[in-house]
Amino acid sequence: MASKVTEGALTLLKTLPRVALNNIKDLPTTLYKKKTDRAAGRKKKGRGDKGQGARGTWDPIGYEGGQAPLILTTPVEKHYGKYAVRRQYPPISLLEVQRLIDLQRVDIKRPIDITSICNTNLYHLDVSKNHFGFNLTEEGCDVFNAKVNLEVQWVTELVIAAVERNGGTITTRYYDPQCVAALNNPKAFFEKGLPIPKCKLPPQDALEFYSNPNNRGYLADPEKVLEAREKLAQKYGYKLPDLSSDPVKSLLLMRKDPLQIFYGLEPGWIVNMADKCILKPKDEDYLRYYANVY
Amino acid sequence: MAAYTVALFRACSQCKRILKPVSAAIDKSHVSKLWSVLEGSKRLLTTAPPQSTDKIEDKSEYPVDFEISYDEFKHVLPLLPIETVPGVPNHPSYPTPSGWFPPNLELRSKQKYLVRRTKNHMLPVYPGTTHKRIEHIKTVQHYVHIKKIEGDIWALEADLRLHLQQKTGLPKIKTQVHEVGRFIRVRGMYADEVASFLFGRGM
Amino acid sequence: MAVSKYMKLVARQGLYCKIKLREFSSSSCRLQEVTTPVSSSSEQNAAPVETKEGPQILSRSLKFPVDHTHPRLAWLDSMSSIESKKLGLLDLHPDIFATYPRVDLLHKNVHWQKMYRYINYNFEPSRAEMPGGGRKPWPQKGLGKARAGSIRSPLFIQGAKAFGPRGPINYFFMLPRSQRATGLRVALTCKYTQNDLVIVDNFDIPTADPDFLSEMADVRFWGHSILFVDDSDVMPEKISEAVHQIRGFNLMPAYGLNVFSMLKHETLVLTLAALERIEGKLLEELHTTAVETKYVNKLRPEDFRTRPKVDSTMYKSFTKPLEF
Repeated sequence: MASKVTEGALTLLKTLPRVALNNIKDLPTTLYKKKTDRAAGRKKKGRGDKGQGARGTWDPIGYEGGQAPLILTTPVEKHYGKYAVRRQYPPISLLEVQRLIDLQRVDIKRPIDITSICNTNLYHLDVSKNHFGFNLTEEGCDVFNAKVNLEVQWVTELVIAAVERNGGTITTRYYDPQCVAALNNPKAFFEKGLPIPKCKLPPQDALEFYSNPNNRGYLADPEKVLEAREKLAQKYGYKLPDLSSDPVKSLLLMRKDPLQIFYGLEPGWIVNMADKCILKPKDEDYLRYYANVY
Repeated sequence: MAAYTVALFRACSQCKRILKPVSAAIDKSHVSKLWSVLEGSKRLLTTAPPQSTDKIEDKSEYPVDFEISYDEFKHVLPLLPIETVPGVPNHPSYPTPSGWFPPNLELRSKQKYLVRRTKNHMLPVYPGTTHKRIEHIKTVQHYVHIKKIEGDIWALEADLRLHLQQKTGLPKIKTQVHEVGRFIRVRGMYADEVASFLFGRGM
Repeated sequence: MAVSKYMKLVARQGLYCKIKLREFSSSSCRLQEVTTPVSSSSEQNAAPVETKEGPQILSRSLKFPVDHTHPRLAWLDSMSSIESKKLGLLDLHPDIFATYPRVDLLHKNVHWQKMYRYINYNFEPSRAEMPGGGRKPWPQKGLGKARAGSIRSPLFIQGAKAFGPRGPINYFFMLPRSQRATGLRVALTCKYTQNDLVIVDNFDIPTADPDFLSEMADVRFWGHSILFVDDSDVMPEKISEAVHQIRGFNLMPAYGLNVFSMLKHETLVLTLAALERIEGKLLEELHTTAVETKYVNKLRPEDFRTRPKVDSTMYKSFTKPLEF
């Protein structure tokens, strides 16, 4: 390199006096220019003669001298419906997932779910903004090359095909907001000392989606899911890899129970981060509550 | 509503967590044909009450009886976030399926300048916009921000400008060089062209 | 020449090498002359061994190695005698000890360190807060004096100030975490490049006599003010006593390292443990996944309450008979 910026600057520093408190200065900032208020020194301060202008007793904005103003006469028309209540699924594309796998941000030897993606600290779900999970989008369906066990909240047919073509599995799974908050940041959740929540079933309008084998819903009949896999392979023209003879079969077939949100941990357990142990209450009613869908 | 409750019940039956009377114990023998298809799936809470192999500390203080497990804490460890960005593993070929490739150190060492990768191993090339009023008309100005420049920053600016002039055919490409902040800003929506230029130089 | 050619070969092959310097003279050797890069390896620190031939180069394994530039080198010294005993050479990470010298960030850090805890207690009472001034001093008309409503008006001598400073004002703000970290890195870079950085193995000195330390500082040209930094906040007894008696010499734990102190003191003396801690922390900061968020002050007035809350309700339920 002809002239090295950093090296040159450091060579210069060696010749200069010691950097001390009395010879350092900030860069000149030209963001805020002090405006000279020329009117402030004049007699009438630029306000003119008498009246509302000089005395600052203006009418309120929109006031029409007592006549009902336009803002009140025009009726309110709400066009947004229940947008604030609708579920949202922030997108993450197949290309992004592939990039995470390439750069080893995500461990493919474990199932990839909300926790794996959020633990990279690159993506987060905000329950206050009605985020219910991730929507796996189609961008990168041609380049997706990994054999993974994916668990997301919304998919299309093309994405399922892209994943299953490489020998992976994909499931769509519903989580209620409390569970989404726990999955987004498990460490913060465990530090609260609350019992691991049991996941609720989907609401009315989502139940159909998650029971449909074409969407690989977690509530769908597993036999129909296998049929759907074969049909999709025929539709998109790829050979469906055989799962039974796969070395990572146990990984690909790992599924959570519908009430379970963390792999290996059951609802009702309390994680003690300080002592590095798990507390499991023995009360009958408690156990029954966390074992059943009511 | 009726259709919903029926659908819900069907869903419940599929996951085998049916509403049970208070006094009944959890039915262990009801093995579902559905779950046997997915071999190796873990079933919850179908075991008898836990064995008393727990290490009991002073439990007289607590109102509820509980069991402590140290072995199962290993399931918590993969759930903890990764605090430091991991290094990139060696791939058999580049670019990787997502289109990433590492810097070409040989090619890069021959250049007069250098653009370092970010901590996430990506190029520090960022498109951006500023909003201005030009003669009271609101306009959006696009720019490309290139950070982390080492070496001869003016040579990089000259090469980049020439490259973009050839690519776009425009007579003038406006650039800003900030020597202290060690960045360059190029006016226009040329993020892809800038990235390909830098990749071509091995950055 | 042969030695340097061999080292270049080895560096290109990327091998770790432990080379014994055949000719070594402490007085003539300057850091700037040692320019051949030593490849950073994955092995642990080797213990410094002094042999008859001379000291060995200590290779210090660096986390997050960089490709574009070479690690900087520094002597590992000792404080056990007045004369310097060079125990070996250490690799220093270029991201920490050879960053671009952003002097403007140094200024920002120093300004922040001064201002974030500064409270301006200046307070001028207004005309309402001043004693008296409620009565009209003289009638409106007839006296030939200017009209006046209160003796404490701003027009009056010994009156109030109209728009004076009003009560304690704080100048608290948080400089972004990245700027504070960069400030530390730039300060360490400036210390290193200007030959004001010394690395010692530990702070074990033979005597608690302050003359020993000051003579050592004179002989080694360490300057008038020295900042001694170790990893722990419990320092050895002898150095604590000696430093206590010398003006300008200060002991500091690694967690207290700050830009102001580094610029105020002429020389910075780090122990090896402190170097590891500081370098580790700053490199961690450079490679963290955490996203920088704006500092939000969550303190409430309740957090500043020092006096116990007194229950001053008039009507209380009396459970016990009153004692007189």
